[in-house]
Amino acid sequence: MKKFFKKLLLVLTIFETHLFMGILYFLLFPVFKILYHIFSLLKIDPAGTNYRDVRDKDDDLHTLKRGY
Amino acid sequence: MFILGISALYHDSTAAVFRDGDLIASAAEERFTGKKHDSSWPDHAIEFCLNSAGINPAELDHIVFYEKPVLKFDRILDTHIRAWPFSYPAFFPAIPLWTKEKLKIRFIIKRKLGKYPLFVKHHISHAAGAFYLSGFKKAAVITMDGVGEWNTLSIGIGDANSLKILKTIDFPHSIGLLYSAVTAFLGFKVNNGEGKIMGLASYGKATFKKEFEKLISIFPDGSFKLHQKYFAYQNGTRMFSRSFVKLFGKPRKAESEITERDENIAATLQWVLEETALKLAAYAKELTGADKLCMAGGVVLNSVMNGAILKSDIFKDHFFLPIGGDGGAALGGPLYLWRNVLGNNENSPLKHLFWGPGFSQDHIKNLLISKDIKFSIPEDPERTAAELISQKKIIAWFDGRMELGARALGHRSILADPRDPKMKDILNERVKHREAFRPFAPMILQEEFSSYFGHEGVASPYMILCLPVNEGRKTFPAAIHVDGSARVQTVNKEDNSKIYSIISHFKDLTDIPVILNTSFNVRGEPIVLSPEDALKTFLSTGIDHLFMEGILVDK
Ligand SMILES: [Fe+2]
Repeated sequence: MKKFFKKLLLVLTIFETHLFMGILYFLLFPVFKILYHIFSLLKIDPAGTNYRDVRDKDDDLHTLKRGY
Repeated sequence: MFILGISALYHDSTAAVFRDGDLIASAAEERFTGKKHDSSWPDHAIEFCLNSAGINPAELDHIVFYEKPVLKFDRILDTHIRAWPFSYPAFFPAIPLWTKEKLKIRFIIKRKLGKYPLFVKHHISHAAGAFYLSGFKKAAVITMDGVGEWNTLSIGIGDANSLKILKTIDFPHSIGLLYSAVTAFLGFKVNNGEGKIMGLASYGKATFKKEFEKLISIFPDGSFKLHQKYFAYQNGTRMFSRSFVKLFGKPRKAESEITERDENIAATLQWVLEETALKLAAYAKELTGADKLCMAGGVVLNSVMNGAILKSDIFKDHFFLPIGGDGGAALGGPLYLWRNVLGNNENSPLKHLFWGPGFSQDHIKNLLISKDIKFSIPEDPERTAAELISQKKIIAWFDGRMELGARALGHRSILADPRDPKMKDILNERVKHREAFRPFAPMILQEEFSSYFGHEGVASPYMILCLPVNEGRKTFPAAIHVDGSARVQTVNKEDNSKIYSIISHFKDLTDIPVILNTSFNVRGEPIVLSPEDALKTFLSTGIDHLFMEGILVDK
């Protein structure tokens, strides 16, 4: 019995993950894509170079703890 | 203070441990698992590092992961949105991988090692590995790879303890991915076959410049844009698009015959890389005002590009971090913490790459006795090895601690006589089974380097420089490439004494201060780690003699 419920839970989790991913991919991503497109039209790339200036603050132990 | 560095879950997972800023041990996971470029969590490599330091995980002061996982995930999602709806086949398998493992690195590390890690950005990890191991006080630092989190290239400056990135080029514009896309088009594996393309390039002529102009715009300051119409890596399934195929014709099938077109495409790609690199170097000098250059990242394994930068004389001195495939980033993270963040003034510069496991002579004796294999212990193993090499025998040399990085540098090497042009084919037939166009490399005594290659005062102990051999000095044809160049390793007495001694004896016997060196493995497998691996490879190939810590095994 316990095994059965464990399996059921697993199936439900997989289903839920896919449902979530499906919503993300098919409903939200197209909206984002349109927004990206609009932003890219507004953005002017500097001519003659493709470098980006880096203006990060100095790292300390606090910033290194972050995964972003 | 003990700091553990980890790079993992992309390719070539590696661990490294430092005591008070000095490297103690480091190795890639592939050597322990036998799976080439293994990207799995480096449990074995971490265990080896902790054992070498003689500590348990609780005694680690810091653990540094080589990149920022959330930032990388941001790029992955962004790419899927941009490529929507064509990213569909890649999206569904990729996301569970992220949610189950890659986004949970913080917790995985806490669970496995009992401490939350610190995260250093991918290209800072690369840059720190190069700058702090170079021993330079001040230098421009360039990093180039496929892609880290968002950056694919960076230019920075290292000055005393401080390291700062000044400029980046970001995904999808990547010289590494351009190289990989062409590698895939020419029928080789991405993240593996790039070196083969470099070898192939020497056979061709750069006749595809017009076509490459459509793929990439290079600006005078060395920055560039890749025209995405020709690439498909944003969809996550293939490297190049249909437009790419329209431009160059049908992609080469793996293992099929290599045509002149393939050689010329490879040659043009190499030309594009070198042109870009020279512009980059000039710009980095202008930007930083430094007269020394450090370089790191996967693209820096391109020893021909490194040779071109050296020859250009843009910088006075160079340090190319010899550990590609993100292994070098496992070293850079801890050093960045030690020097830039914690403000310590010193760490030992890199002098050699022998940071892996080593084995005692007793261990090897016991192994041979248990397997009932006959052996002898020559009085002077280096002299005996040199004599055998000069008699055209192929020998395997297993000695001391294993090399870190992709190259065998004399501790897990196959050595042969480079004087005989046929030796390349003999080695391929009996041991290596590599593509016929790939060259083997020479080891030369440091003091003889300039008389064979010019460039007085330059050392190349890590086989990361490809340079033309002086005319009249091409006395070791089996280790010279078709274009007259060689990916040379210089050997000095201090850091690689036994190989130094073998070459010295070989010179006494033959007048040539050069031997041929190739990695001790067979095609498709990583370089051997243990005497057990060495014995297995020795017995299954056409190697004539095996030396392990002074013990000689014959066939
Ligand atoms: Fe990298």
